[in-house]
Amino acid sequence: MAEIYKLIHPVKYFNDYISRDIRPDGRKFHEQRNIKVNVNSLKTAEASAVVKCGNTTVVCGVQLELATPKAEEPELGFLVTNVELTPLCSSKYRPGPPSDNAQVQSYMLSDIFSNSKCIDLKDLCIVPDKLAWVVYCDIVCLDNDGSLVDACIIALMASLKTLSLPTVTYDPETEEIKVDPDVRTPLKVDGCPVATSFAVYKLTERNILLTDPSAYEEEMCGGLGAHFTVCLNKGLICGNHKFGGSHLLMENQEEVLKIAKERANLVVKVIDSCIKNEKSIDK
Amino acid sequence: MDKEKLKEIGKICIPGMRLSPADDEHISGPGTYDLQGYIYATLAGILKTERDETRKATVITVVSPRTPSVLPRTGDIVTAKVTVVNSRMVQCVILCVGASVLVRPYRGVLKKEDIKSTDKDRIDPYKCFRPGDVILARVLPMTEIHWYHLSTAENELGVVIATAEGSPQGVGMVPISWSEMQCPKTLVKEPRKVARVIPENINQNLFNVGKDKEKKSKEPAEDKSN
Amino acid sequence: MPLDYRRFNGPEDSVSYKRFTKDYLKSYSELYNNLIDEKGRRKDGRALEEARSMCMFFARTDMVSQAKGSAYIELKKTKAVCSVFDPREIPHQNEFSQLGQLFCEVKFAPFSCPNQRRTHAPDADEKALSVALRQALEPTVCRHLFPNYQIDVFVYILENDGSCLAAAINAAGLALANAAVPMYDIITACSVAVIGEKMFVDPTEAEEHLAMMTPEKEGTNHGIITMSMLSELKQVSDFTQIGSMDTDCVTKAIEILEKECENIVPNIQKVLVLNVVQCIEQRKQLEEEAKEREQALNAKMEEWKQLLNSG
Repeated sequence: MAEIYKLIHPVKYFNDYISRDIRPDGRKFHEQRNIKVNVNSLKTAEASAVVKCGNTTVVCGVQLELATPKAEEPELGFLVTNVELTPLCSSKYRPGPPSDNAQVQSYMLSDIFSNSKCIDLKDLCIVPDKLAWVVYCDIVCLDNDGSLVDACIIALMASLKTLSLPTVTYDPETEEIKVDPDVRTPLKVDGCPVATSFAVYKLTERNILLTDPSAYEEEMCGGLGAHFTVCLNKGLICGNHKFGGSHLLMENQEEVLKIAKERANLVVKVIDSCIKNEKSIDK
Repeated sequence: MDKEKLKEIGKICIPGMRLSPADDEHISGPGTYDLQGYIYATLAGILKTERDETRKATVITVVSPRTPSVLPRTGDIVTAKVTVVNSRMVQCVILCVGASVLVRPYRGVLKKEDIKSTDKDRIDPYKCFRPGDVILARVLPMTEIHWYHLSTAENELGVVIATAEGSPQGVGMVPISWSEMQCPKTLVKEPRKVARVIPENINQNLFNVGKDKEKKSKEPAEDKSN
Repeated sequence: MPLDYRRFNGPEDSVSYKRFTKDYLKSYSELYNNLIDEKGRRKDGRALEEARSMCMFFARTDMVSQAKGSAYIELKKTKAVCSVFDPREIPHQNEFSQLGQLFCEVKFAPFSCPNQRRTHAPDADEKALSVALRQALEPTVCRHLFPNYQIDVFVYILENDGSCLAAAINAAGLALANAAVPMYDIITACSVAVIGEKMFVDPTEAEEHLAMMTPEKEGTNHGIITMSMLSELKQVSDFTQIGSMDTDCVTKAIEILEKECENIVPNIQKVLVLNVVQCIEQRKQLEEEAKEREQALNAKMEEWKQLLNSG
């Protein structure tokens, strides 16, 4: 019965909940969903992480390749991040080239990541102008239930934190490259950016912020993707995206920052404890 | 697993399970098929047997706990939302078939002459439907590949939920006659082909208006306490 | 290859670092000796004719919340996710078709293969797998129930350690049943890799790789056979053979595969039955909650009635 009501009277259905300070899935406005992280579950990738935020599931796999650095930036390595929204994660996506939404998510992630400066690309250079690492980070969404960027960043950071680079010896005369995969050095990661998404819902007299929105809530608030994403790295804002939706008041902004800060601390703790667990199992 | 619990649930079937011989006594119903003298299940679910008195046989069906992937069939009553109205026809998306909700909406078309059963020549679709209206309609035989043909030429079929122009979303109009509805807030009157909704249970219906309101307000509040 | 502007691309000349490691290039015999140890056991401790069905087989349904039905299958390292959606209109179709269609797509994750990063663009391998999957599934779905519509079946392979097609078919069969799509029977699949005299049931990536290589000696059997079966109806719905081998070898392989397909059936059955039980229990709980609500409402109504009556 509720299903039919939801379908035929979508706005009324949603309003009924929101006007009583509760969300359709039973959460409070600023309650977040559970986060589950699992690292190194895929053996074919150099490093990997599976992240679940509520129903949203993303998998990040890292692969390493070697290439010559760009002529204009001879001392920098490469780090390529891509977000893949597979057709299986939601009925909205079709097979084929990435949709506009997938491209926006991809760009946003890469923006946040490069702004946070948590990886120094110089660390990825082996011999200037000759040889550098290319770190391919492919983030695949298996189940899109909203707040995708949040989950993607967690997956990316969790896998980069476990990544270690094999030792490379380069002979400048013969240009011979030798790689020893058994001796590895971990990649230096400085800080950990964490994104927190909000959806802005316009009720007649006031705007309501929903933290960590689900796909249904995002849609009810007007369109694909969350409206407002704040990213923090070690207490500094490294990304602040606002797409569509209605306007935000100053006091909202402060509230948002407070929530984002709390969440950033929580997520860093989750990732670290997960990696620690994994290591203790390995030993 | 709990044996008691399983007993309570009934007989669980999975696709390809042989259920019974197919003879004069046993007929295959929904969720099953017969092949070479036997009835097999096509769905994962619970086995149900019903006695069909007219045919003097037992109908064997399998009921899935999930809504099976249904498509609208000829004769079904569907709930649809109007998307386009022009002078010749009304286009809509079908949302529900009977009581089951469709996950993917299917397209339906309502031709001008199928809107009303009387006065067919003088029907103006603009005076019957507006985009955004929720209507009840009956499915006609399929003639085109991707369009379901619909009809509202019955008293019980037509607009059930509509919002007047300029009124805020979620405020529905109230029917005041066969062909008019009025917004309770702005008091604007608009023409519609109104459906006479038959209540399932007359007694409860006496309190239906008050009850409905109460129910909606109650549901979220309940969730909160959980 | 033309540049893909919709994604971020790495430098064009990048190569996997594994090219420069010591054990990148190995001869055929070296690879062969790597597969089996002295006791005749395979690298992961299995006997030749032992499939990864017992403790290494893991399956579950309801992986993807947004899909109608979904399944996840793990054969030791091979991991596949499958989701099935409701019937939808067939795009660009202008003929009336009595039977519904299946649209299948198998995709590998870019990081699914151990040696080379997979490109995002669909390659011949994926296409071939998609077609094989569709052919295998078509006989098992009651397609006459949804004329002019198609059901989407998407399989995503997270990690490839051999027997991808078999894993994809098993996952898709489970997901279809989970989505309550009417099916004639449960479908299971298994594959075997043939290298010379030996048959590797449910091969790993390394074994498949070697089976695909042309052996040094002419005329030796080599190749991979994948077969899918409808267990109750005893029908073979798909039979894919790659490589070259003699007829005796093929008949022997079919015998083995038939047995292995049977062995998987109880696993799938268990998952489906559990799924039904779970669904029903969930529903019961919801109904109970609804009943409570109804009771509260009725009590309220009585109160109102009394108020109204008293004036």
